[in-house]
Amino acid sequence: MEEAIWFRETFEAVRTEVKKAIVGQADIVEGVLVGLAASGHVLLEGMPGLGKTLLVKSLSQALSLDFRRIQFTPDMMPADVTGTNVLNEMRAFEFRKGPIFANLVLADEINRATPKTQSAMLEAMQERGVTVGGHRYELAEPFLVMATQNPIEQEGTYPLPEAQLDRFFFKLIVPYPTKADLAEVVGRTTGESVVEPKAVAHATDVIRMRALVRQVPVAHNVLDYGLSLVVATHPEGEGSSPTAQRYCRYGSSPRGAQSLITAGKVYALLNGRFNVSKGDLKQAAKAVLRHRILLNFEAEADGMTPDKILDEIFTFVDSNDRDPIKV
Amino acid sequence: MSEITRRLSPFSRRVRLVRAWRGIAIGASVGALSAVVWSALDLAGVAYTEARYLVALVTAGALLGALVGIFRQVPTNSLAQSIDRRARLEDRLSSASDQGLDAGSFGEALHEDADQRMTGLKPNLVYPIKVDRWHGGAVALSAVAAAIFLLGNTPFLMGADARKTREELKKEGEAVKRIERENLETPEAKKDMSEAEKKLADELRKFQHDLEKARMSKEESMQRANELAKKEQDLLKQTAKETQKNLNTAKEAMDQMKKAALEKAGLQNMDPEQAQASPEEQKEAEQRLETAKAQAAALQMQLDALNKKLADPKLTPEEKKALEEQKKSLEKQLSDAKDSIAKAKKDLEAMALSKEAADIMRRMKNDPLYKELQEMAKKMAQDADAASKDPRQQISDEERKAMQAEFKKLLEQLKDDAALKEYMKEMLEAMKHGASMGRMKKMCLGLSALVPIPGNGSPGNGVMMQDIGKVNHSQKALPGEGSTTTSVITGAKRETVAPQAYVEIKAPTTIGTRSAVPYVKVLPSYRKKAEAALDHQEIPKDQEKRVKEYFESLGH
Repeated sequence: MEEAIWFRETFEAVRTEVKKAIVGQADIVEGVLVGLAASGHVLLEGMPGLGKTLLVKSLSQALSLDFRRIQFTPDMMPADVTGTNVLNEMRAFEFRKGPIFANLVLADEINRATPKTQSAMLEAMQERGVTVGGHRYELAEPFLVMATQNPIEQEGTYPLPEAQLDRFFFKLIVPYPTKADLAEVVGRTTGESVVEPKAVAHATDVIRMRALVRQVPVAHNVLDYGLSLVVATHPEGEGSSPTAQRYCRYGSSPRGAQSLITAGKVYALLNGRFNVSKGDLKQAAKAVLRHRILLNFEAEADGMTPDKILDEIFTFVDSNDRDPIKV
Repeated sequence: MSEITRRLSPFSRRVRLVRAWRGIAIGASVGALSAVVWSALDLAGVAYTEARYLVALVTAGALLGALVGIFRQVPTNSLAQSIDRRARLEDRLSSASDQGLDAGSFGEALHEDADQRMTGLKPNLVYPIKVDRWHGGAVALSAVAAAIFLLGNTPFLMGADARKTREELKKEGEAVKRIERENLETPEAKKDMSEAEKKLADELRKFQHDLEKARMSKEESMQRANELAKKEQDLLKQTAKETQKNLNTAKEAMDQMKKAALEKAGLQNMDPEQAQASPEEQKEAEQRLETAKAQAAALQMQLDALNKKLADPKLTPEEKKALEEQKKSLEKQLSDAKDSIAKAKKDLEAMALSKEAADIMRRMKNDPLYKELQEMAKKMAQDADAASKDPRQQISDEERKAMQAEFKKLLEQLKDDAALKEYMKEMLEAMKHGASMGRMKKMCLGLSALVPIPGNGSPGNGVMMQDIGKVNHSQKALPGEGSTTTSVITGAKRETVAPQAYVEIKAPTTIGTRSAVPYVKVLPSYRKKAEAALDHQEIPKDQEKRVKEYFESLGH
């Protein structure tokens, strides 16, 4: 029980510190922290200038983790990400680590890189290591990639293929700040004092948090509910929802189910419980599933977004999740 | 039992209670729906029902629903999930119920958390007893069923005449019901009823139902009662015929059984009642045998000695001739002695067999089946005797010949003890069937009391009062059935000359002859009605005089 309390307190401390730098965007901050606790990478989608880089930077400061930022461009090569062997003064090849060798990596505008570079990046994300010149180099632990992509300016971009999107634990949509938040941002950034987050946790804490998350039990009925959510995104098969049948080309992969349950566990601890609830799963579901469903033409024609479709899917699953004791 | 399971127990009991409450509503709704259909069919005249049946149906449905609710299982996991939902415990209980105390490092904390959350949680608040749509449905459907039933069964909704007719028909219906109860609903009757009787009983029941519901006019009721009575008479005739046949078969079978037993003993000509020889006879036969044997031995010795003498060569021809004559005489005596021995032996053997035959007879008489058979035969003889008075119930020569052929076959089969016993059983069954004749007769008399039954050559078609004439008060009331008497009215037929017999009950109609209005009290009103009918020319011209004379004769 003390462990759970420690988890929550640490999480809250980091959040508080990050919030000192980031105004508003509470959901995004929480999402990123949940991804971090669940060992998952996060894809942030939003307009430029919404504080994505600041968020990652602040996070690294609060957690005293290494932070690197990679600005992806079409001419970027995989070696620019992973690192490469260079001939040193001793006339021997020496591996020079790329920016991916950090605890926190911000892959800015990842969709601007060529598929080749994207795939090198995503492979490293998945394998938590890179192989150069036949030699494998392990990445630092904890390792978290936060990739961003701009929903506009699609010309000259290489949208991430579905298989690669699936490797992101969460996809978070960064909204515009509210007027009040904007005023706060302006006030903070144009004044004299600059607030820097303090380090309240360390890499070992993150690793401990991750281990703790895995111990949270999930009841069968809750697991069944989570799986029903995932299966309902499939356009065909048992448990498929009418909305998915109509608007989805592909549904979530099993990795989606894994991510959903893991995220649910984090939310359970955050909510002060020792069990995952259906509410936890629903809280995580949109961030987990929105980039894992592929819409068809009809969805685009009807103006359906993944979030709208997921809302309908939740309604469908909830309607089938009835009280087992009918009285 | 874990702490969580223990804490779930009161909730489980509560769920059963609430389920029972809901089950009552669901069961009552189903019962009420069935009651609606039933009462609608009753209203349409397709089915018959009474208020108590409808109430019983709804009650039975409610009771069944309650029982299902109480005894249906409440799985612990389902209960935990349900409480989680209702008390907004965020799946704490279901997780604790699903995961044991040793489930990872959070097992204990999980159970402690769930336990803490359950403190102060009241089962009656989680599962309140509510009146839901099923309860509303049960009440509404019951009301509809009651309304439909009352629509067809409430006299207030009818006119004065219809009400009066209904009351009269209802009384008749009650009387028919009494006949049914006395004759068809006894345990013996239910057990022994033949198919034809069952069919008739069903028709009678339907008639009684229709009467109770006043689904017909008085005329129709008379007509139907008439038809039923005719059917009963036919069945009575048929049953009487069968009984007679069974009786004859039984009698002959019993005779044949005795004969077969004696045949087996080799005493075909012996009187079955005196099959056993006396001890004196037995002794005398034994003495005869001994004497004959001694005689034969002596003669044989004499003959041997004579043969030796004859073998002597010194004998003169005269001596030889004399000896040979003596030998012939001895041989004849010896032959007679041997015959005597054989006869005595045969007699003794026959006597031994007669003893065996007597044993068979004794065993048969001691058999409870035989006794039952005899009693049944006696009873049937009485019934058959009554039935045989009707000339139409006599058995034809052809039938008798066929029966004789059957007996011959039987003779062959009855030579064996086991076959005898089997046959007795079959006979008993046949007789039991025949015994139903008495029941049918009672029924027939009961219905006859309700309506006039046309006899041979009657005009039929329910025109009962056209042949009128002399009243014959010959028939007596059935024993123990009140003072109403039936009367046979004979008269000249309108067109044919055949004699006619009607059984008529004096008005007002009563059934079962339990009560009656004295004859003289009702006569004036009937006379008035007849006169009114004459005035309105309802009576055919050629019968007017006869009707007048009839009522005048009654007046005297």
